[in-house]
Amino acid sequence: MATEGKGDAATTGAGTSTTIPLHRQELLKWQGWGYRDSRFFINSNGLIEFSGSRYLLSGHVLPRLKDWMFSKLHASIDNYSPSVQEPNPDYIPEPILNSSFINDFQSSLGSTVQYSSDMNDRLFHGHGHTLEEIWKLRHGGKFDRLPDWVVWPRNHSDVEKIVRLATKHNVCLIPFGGGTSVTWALLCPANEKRMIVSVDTSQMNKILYLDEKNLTARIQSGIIGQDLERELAKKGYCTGHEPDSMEFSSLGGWVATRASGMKKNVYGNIEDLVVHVTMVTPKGTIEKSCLGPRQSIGPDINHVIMGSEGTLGIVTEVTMKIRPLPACKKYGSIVFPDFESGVACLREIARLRSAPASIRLLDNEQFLFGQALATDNKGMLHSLVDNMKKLYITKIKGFDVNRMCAATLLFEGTTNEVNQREKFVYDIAQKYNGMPAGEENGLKGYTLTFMIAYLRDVGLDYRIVAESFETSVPWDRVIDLCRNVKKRIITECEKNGVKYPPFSSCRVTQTYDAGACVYFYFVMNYNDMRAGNDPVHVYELVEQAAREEVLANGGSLSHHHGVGKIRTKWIKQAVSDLGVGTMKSIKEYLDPTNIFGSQNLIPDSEEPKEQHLKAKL
Amino acid sequence: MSLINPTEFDDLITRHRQSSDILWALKTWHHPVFDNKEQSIKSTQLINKTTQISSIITPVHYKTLPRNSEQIKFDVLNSLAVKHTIDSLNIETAHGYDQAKAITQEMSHRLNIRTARFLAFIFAKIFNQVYDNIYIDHHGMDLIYQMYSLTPRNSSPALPSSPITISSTLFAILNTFSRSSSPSDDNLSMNTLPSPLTSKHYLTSPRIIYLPTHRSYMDFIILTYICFEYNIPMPCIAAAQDFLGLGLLANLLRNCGAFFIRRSFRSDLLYWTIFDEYVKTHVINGDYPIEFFIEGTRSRTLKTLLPVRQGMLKSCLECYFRRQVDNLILIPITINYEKVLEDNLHANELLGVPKPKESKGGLLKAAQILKKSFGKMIVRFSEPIYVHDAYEMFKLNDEKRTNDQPDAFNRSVPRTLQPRSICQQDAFTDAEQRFTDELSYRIVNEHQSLTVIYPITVAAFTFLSTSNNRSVSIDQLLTDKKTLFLDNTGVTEHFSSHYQISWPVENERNCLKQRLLTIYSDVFECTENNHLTLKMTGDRFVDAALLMKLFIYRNTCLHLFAKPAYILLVCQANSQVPISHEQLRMYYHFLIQLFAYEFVYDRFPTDDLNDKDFDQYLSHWIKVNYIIPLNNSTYKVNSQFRQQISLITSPFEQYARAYLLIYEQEYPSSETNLSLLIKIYQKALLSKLDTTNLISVLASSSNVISNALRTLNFNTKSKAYVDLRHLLTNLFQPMSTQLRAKL
Repeated sequence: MATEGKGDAATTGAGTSTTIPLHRQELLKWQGWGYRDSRFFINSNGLIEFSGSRYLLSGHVLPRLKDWMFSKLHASIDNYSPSVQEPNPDYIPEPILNSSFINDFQSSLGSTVQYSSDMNDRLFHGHGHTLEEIWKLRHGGKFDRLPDWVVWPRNHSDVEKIVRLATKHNVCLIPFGGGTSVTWALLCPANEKRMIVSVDTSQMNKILYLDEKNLTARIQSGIIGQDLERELAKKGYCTGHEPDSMEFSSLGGWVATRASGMKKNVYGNIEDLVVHVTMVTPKGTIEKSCLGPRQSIGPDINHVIMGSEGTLGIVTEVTMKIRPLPACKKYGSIVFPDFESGVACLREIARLRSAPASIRLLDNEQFLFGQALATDNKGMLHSLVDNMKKLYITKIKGFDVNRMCAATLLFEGTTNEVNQREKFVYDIAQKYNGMPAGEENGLKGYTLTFMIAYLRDVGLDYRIVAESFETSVPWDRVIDLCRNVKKRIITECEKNGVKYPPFSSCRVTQTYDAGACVYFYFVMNYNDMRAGNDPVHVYELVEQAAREEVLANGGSLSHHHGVGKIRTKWIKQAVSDLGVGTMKSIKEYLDPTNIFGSQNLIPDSEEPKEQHLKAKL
Repeated sequence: MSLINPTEFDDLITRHRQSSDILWALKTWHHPVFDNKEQSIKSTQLINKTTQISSIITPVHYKTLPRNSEQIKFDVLNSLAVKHTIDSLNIETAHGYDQAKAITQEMSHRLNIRTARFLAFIFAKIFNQVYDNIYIDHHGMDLIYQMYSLTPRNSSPALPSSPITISSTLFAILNTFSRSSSPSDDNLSMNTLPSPLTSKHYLTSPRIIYLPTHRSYMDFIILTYICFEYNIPMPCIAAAQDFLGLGLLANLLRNCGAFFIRRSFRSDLLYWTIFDEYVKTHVINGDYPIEFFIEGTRSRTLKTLLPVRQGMLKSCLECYFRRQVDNLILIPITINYEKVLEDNLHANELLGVPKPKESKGGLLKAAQILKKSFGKMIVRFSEPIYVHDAYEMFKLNDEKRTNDQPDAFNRSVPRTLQPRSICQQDAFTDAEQRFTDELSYRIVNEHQSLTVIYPITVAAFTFLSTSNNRSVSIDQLLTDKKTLFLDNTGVTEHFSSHYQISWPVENERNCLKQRLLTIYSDVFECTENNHLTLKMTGDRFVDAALLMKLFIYRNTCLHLFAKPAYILLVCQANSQVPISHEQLRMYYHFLIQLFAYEFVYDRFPTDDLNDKDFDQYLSHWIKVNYIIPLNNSTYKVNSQFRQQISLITSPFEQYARAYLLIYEQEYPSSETNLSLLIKIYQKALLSKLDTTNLISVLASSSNVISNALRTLNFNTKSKAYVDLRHLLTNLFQPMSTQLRAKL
């Protein structure tokens, strides 16, 4: 049996140039985040440098970062813990193959649809990017179950055929978009005894057409964010949907997890952007028959599809709003004397509905961390100016370095709009003791967004684990939630015998009329832990406690990451028993034989709640 | 059981007698959390600006902490909760605010360090006069220091280990000048890695709630006094409004942090809102710890009361449930008095002499007490209860307990959906309410476990073990102490391994005699050959009060014996025939329920007849040979130990018989108001008061009557009345005729 089918040679149609190759591991790290050529490392001078040439930071040295890691997190150069270099074939579970499906597939689709049962492809499609998963990859741990096959459909009808075959032969399908899930959504259930086929949508990456009259575009679901924006920009448009993972995540994935983009204040979140969506389910294709902007036709079918996390079917095509490229794009930043003032200012901006495209408030920890990420010293004059600024803020304005925090801003629109909005926002900020801190700092803040995930890999090299999680919360609870969750992380670490104080930090990343989205970072040095404690287990305990704290503080289970398998045990609490029952009955109708058996979202009532967790450890 | 070990305690009296009270009252006193704030001119301007914007997010800015009482009042009056209540009450807004203002004015404390210093000086004088020792538990104090991230006392420079003298004070002052730039750096220096929780600015003071026992007026002062002594923030104390009658003194108390609340106000929504908000603003902002008495009132009987007053506790807990604070720290404190300041008053009050109105005159009279000695005071702190951990534990257990599906149509609104800034009287969900109950029982249970047994307790036990025991030899006391506290540590320690006994070590007999005679000169006198005799006068009421005083001192240790003694009591009452295991268990549970209000356990007794401790107690009594198991699982008391057994069971038998006596009274079914009912009963019983009959004295106690009647209520009225009487008479029937003749 062939391990790989070639399919049609013409993979690039309609002129879309794709960033991601068919075999992702050729370009991307198999055991970490992002491109193979881009990573942080300690260079010959003993300083941390970022390699490659893809990013603003690429090729730059970050002189203060190592000190920060070593002094704040108590890491040390001696505690080097490199990742394994190649996946160990012994740790790849034997595939379960359904020969009748394979025969049928090869005879009907084998000539057009590419497929693979190569070990590296299977491994890449069997995980997302939570700490547990990356830890396992780096330490050569064994996954209980991996996809047995990977297929690359090229269009809607390929997907229909694949789903039909899978239903006929009772094969489990797991859709795969960008692979950036952080909810264990891509993990194969350990108890799945059928053949598992990962359906990689990366070849469905074409913009089918632009409708410039209605400002919409029909797009195949596999396109990844950076390709989509690049292709649209060529024609003078954008979608404006920019999640932090946009370099790698796909349109289908955004729809399936209800993603949120950083510029949602201007362009909206995915649910605001989607006009029409088509999904292939085991029962057939589900879609609405009208492109009208708003419809009162019962519960919105689009909303059944959005957030279904691959449990109902595969999203194949999406009609999405597009916008002309903004004439003007301007960064900005504000420093506040403390987090409370910052939140109050954001709340006021939200109240007046005058938020810029993006506004993010970093807490003091992240503000200080941001200082540590400054690139190469730029000479005497620059540092002199910097010092003067610092003196002005701390001595004359009376800010406390250990309390102050910063907001980064991004304005988009016509030049006039941008200038007006900018002045308006800075005026409000002034009322809350905020001071404008320059465009450059704002730009730096946003470029760092793409670096954060790379930073985790260098942390892991030096025995430091890190993770982020998010929530959304009403305005009146924002400050309490931030403080309590940060504090809970620290106390929980102390309770579990973590010797060094963890880095526990948050930022407010989105503002809404009724609340905000808060993002937490949690970094922990697991050296010298109390004997017998497994770092991943401790880390999980801390993360669970933090999530419990979030819920108790009135935060949501998730703002945009989704539920996956990591959070199913709280879903009942989140949407009530009847809510889960409703989801279940939809699932039972659309997918009676559980073809889309990723077991995301809805807890499996028969097995004990802890099963997934156990399977992971 | 262990003997009080003075090295585990600080003795304030010894310390103060060696030094000057005035200098002590004038010593430097820092707030450990707020005083190190940087307060440059510019940053104060920032504060002012911030407070001017009444922010939607945080009503109080951290830089304004700790607030003074005016600011607190202002914050309460301007809170959304008060606004909402006034709006919802449909009263005219201006009028509503006037009312609210008057209420806060009446309620508010005015805690300030100047008055605290003044009172510290006065009370240092008084305490040095009337107490031999005031012992403060080291360990508990160290824990509190840790919460404030201070170094433990023995290495802390803030507390002089040597007595304060003029030169040491001068030295200290010079010291502060020389390092004025960083006055308390050394306080914060840690020898290990600093936890971000202590070094980071955003984390403020621990939310501490002190929960002392309430036995005497002294309780109001003592904790503030200790806090001043140890340089930790002084608490705000919830006091009942009756104390406002004290006039000037009430004002002094106010200035020391007491705030005054009405006795019952649940129906007055505006008052309730202000009270709730007033407590919450303290907890949320954490500028002052809170102190209140969970038993709600001074326990005249020196017994632990049911934790019925949950209002304060619930207001505090709600801040946690709403997650306005991330944790609360409850510190139960047991203040053990060797002689309670107002034991005479207590005894009289129990016998129906009305509580004198709080007045200045009364206090002047009280000045006479300065001439007396009140022995020792021992203050013990229990391990702090972290509410978060306790609640997590509770939820875990609760999940196991309730497996049934919740009613989908009868949801209780989860905290996350409730508005946070509005004060709702019935916001507690079922689980939260159950947790509050469990927690409050846990607190009083902690109180009980830290009891200290003084010689008077043993003496009271001995004198009261049989009627007409008016004279007792010192040797008898020693024997009884051995029976009670040495031979049977197995059962008492099962209840509490923490209780301690304060007993002279050397020259036992003499010291004991001297101690009892000097401290309780109104009770005992010495007769020939080392016998202690009660000072009986022959006046019915005076003698009854004297006996009552013995009753209340005996009460301090009864919780240790209650449950195990029930087993003995049942066996003893049926001493003629062996009793079956079934029956024994039945009566055991009957007694537990009968005394549901009399003796407090770890939870309120339910109908569940499976007390986990029963078997353990029974096997203990079998082991020490007090009870002999016969074949086919029946039991019998060992007549060899008759004396010991009747000593242990005597209090409970007396209580049971007192109940019987009460139940035998005519039941005026027309009256439903409990307090009036008690008066009627008491009048009837007092008219038959017979000081030679201990049970008659005990049954005349308003407290016993009230508990007995409440048990009836608890057991759903009339039917139970007959049942209880029947069971009680049944239990004591075999002996009752002969015993009644004897008593």
